[in-house]
Amino acid sequence: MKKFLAIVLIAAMMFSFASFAVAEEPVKITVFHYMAQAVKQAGLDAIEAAYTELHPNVTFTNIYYNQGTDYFPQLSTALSSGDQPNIIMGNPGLYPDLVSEGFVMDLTDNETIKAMNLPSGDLGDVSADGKIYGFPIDFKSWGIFYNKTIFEEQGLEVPTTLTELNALQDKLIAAGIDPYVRSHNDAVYGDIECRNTVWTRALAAGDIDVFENLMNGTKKFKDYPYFAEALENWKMRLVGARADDMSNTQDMGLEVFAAGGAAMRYDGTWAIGDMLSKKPEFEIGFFIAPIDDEGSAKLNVQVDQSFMVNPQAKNADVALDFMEYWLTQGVVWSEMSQMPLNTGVVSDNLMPMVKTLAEMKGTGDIAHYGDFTMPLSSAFTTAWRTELTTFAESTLTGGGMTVEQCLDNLQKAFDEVIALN
Amino acid sequence: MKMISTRTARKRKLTTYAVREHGANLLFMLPAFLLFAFVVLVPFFQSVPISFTDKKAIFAKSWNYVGIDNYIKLLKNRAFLDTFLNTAHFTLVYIVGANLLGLVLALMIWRSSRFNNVARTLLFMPFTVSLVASTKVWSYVYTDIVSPLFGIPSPLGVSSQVIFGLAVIAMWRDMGYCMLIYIAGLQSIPGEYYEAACVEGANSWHEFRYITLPMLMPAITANVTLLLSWGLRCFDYSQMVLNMKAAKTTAVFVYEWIFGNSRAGVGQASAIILTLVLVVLTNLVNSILRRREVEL
Repeated sequence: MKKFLAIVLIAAMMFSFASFAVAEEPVKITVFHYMAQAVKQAGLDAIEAAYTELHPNVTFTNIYYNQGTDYFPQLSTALSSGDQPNIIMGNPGLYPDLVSEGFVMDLTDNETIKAMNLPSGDLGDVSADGKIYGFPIDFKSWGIFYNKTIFEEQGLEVPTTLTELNALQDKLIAAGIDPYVRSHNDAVYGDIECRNTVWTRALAAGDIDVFENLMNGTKKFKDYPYFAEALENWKMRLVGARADDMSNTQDMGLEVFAAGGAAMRYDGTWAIGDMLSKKPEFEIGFFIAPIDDEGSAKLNVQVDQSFMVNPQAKNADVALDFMEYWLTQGVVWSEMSQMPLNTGVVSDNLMPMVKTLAEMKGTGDIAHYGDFTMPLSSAFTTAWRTELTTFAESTLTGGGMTVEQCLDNLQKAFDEVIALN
Repeated sequence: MKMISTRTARKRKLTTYAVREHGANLLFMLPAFLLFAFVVLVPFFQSVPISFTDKKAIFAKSWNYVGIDNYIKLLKNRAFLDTFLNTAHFTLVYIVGANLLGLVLALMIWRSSRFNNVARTLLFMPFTVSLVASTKVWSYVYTDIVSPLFGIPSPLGVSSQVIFGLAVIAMWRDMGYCMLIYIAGLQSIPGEYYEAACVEGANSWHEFRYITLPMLMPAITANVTLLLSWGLRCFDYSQMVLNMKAAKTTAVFVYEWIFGNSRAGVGQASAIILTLVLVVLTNLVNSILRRREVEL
């Protein structure tokens, strides 16, 4: 009996040692992302470090590529060669091939996501074909950032109507101050300048399938009056052109803005961290660009950091656990990146502007991209942005392109993409 | 009968010689050819069938054959054809500019001296800078130097000037390379020709027109052919101004459709059209220029 017990005990001890060894086996998680901002990269490092502290055997490798040029090509090459990343950044609606080829995990029944009770827009942004494939960490928005010092010196108030905004721009020009510094070397800027009008009006009109219809060719741009309105509104802001407006990259534009080279800048909230990193004492304010005199403009919301888990990669369970940790314990990330979390959790260490954004989203009076049936795919996004940049160039350099002509160009560009699809 | 057997013997001797000579040449070429075949030829021929499919992402495991549909769609597509015009525009400005600058510089510093040797090194240095780095540096040159100095917007932000702006970057980078080839060509021209021309009363222009230029034709052929193929494949320069429709080259179109837009079939077909155009044009220009070369 003693002998038997001794054998059982030894076996139990060996088993527990073996389990311990398995548990502590080093795990390397690869994160493929396109977060260009230094503060976001620091935020990613911080959340990973926090996870590693809890799970010392888990280490991370982050692979960054520029989204506009080589993120998806490099990801495609990695997946084709069998070099599987564990975590893939991106909105599943933008990368339908990842879904159809089984490179992203179906998270529809994920208990952690369910427990967060996220609004439909947040979930829509990380879904494709009615299923959830991504973790919606935080959100972004866009609008007009302004230099508080210049506003104070010029005795300017934050405008709440389109008429007030136009008057403010005129005052700045009359005072010899550039109203805006732009970065049209980066095509996203034309896009975000028009979104506020398009999203707000389309959702108010119930046109949740507007982008889907434009992509399948069943509707034309001119079928939706708010595209013309968006261009008209934007054209009003395209005044007081600077010589560098068309060639500035995002970073170059931010440098000029932080240096006081212009009073305002239409930008995304993702740039807040970088603005402050360029000049920590920079006094900036933010307001949503008015789209009319009735105060119809709403805060635009789109999930910013969305991450998908690759079930075909090794240690998918660990990657899933890390993403659940990030979603639920993301304060470290938020503080470092100054990005507002979708969960609504707000840290005291966030800038007041970021806290305000989180509060505004919490009210639900927003225009959320995730509430549309489908996002514009990559080819259509490129066409849309390229034509908008051409419109900006023409307006800023006195080329005189009309809104009507821009709509025609947009339609032609979409038709060309449809023909090749 | 005897005559025939002598001929046969000579032929056999010649053949053996030719085989030995060409065999040696081929053997020397073999390592480079194998590498070239491995990284260029095999992937190219492997990818040809994809151009006849509706394959989406490059990692997609299933697709259908669609015949020559992709080719027909592309040849009817205005956006695709426009990229060819942009590419041709860039290539033309780039070839002419880089060659002219290279030739002028070569004529200035082809003789060996301490100053000329230093100048050659300095002028060749941009060629060693990566394409990405040179485009980044030039975007600042245009924005922070050219714009404030002349009170004009950066050419990279103006559709009508963007191709010229990009070609200037390419010229700056490659003129040193052209210069070196021209210097080699100039140094191989025998001095007796110039002495004879001087005796005949020729002036500098006559010497350049009737001696230097014809004798430089092999160097011109090499430079033009090389820059033609580089220009037609232009990708990096165009990538830096992605949002400018007027600057989008065919190589960027190919990249966008294969990878960014996940339409590997369409993208591959556009790549094959570009390759065919490149091969045909390069050979055509090369054969025209070779006819003008003068044997020493």
